[in-house]
Amino acid sequence: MRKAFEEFKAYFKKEKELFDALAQSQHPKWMIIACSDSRVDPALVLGLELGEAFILRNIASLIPPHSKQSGHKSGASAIEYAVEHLKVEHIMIVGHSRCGGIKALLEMKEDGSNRFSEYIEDWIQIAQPASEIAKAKVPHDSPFEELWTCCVKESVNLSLRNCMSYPFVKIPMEKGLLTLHGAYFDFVNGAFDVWKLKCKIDEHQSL
Amino acid sequence: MAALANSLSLSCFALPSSGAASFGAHSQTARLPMQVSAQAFDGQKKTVVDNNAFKDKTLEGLNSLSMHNAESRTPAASVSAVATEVQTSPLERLKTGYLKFKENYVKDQNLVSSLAEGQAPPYMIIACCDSRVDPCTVLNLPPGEAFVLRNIGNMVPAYSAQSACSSAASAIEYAVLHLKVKHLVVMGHSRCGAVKALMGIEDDGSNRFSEFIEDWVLILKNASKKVKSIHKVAPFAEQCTACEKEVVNASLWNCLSYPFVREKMASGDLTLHGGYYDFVSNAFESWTLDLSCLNDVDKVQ
Repeated sequence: MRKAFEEFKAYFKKEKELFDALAQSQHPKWMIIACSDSRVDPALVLGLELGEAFILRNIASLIPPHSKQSGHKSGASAIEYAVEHLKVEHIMIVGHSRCGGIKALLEMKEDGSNRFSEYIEDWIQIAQPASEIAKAKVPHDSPFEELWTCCVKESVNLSLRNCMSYPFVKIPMEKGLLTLHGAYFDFVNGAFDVWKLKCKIDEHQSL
Repeated sequence: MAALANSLSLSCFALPSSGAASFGAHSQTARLPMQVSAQAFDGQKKTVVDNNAFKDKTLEGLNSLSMHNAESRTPAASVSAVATEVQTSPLERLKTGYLKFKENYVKDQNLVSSLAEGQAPPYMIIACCDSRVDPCTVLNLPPGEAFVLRNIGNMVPAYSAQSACSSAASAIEYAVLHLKVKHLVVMGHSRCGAVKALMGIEDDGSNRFSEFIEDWVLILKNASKKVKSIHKVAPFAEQCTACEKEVVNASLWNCLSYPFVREKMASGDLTLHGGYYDFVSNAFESWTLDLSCLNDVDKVQ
């Protein structure tokens, strides 16, 4: 670890101006929500420099819907901080190939008879609606990989919609100050797909 | 938890008394502000143990991939990347970054195929969302090395039998029991906005400013209470620095409250570490938890 940090330290010294500015404050334009999976660090994968992206990571990059009920608010607090205080302009939620969390979701039995964890299933079931959509979309006889991929993408879309359920996200989105993006990183085939979530309320028309 | 605390003899490497110690430097011994007995440590020993703790085949053996990552962070690349960000569209910026990553990544086909099949990271790192502290960047960890949980303030709530839809608990459970990580690192940092928010909360909640931020950071309110009582007369900025480190220790302590974490530590399969990245003075401190009386925990519980 010392060797690794020494290399970084040397780079830090060379980029003095950049790091002096960052020491004072951060002004990232991006908030990225990514999975904790060791293969999908968004700063590495997207070649982001320090200071460019505020990054939340949890299993399967999930965002629960807005709710005033008790329960740990790690996602909500991070988004609130990013949007209201850092004034990020973009939020991107990144799903990825071979996501273990989504696989566990797809394998969960409705009656809970194959429950294997204390916390993992309770967390991953946030994406349950995505599992239902994916199972309805993908033909039953398709290979599991196809259902898996579809469910990851539907889970990204679900988390994007859940993001929108927070007023502090919805309002800047409607004003055009904040854009929401979905993404799918496929490290099996070497691809990175992105898409936007558009939210537009048309002008009211009197009947 | 008080009984648990008293039963543990926790020899921790002390927090450096000043924030400017660079990685591996000798630090002054001091008792950690925790309610356990802590043995004073020997600075030299810290260096040795840290090397052992993080001496791992991947950092030494994956030189080729590490070099690839170092290449992508050469000064020329970084300056041009920042300039690019200003001039081109945001998505173009990401595209440039991704294509550069892919160009380097595919050079090691063995790694690509092995990671396509599965992951076996030796580390779990819990870090802050702050854009300045990406742990894989700071510690030069290539893909596959670290399972990373990030939230504001790098906070871990204590174990609770009522699972409250916890991102931290689920991530730790998955890392420890399924990925079987060898090292769990909680990494704090300088100028942490979440810690500053925690330290600024009035006892009566009269200055509440957010819907969720205060509720989140208050999971470690004991850390701020402790710092305020120990550093009563220190300037606010210094109190915040102390709290940034106390939050790391409090989060490590909460990691210990998970039975599966204690079990893996007891069997020698897991080591817990604290880290503090100071980007103001360009320094990284780390320390290791070494519980010698872990076997007594079950009796107490």
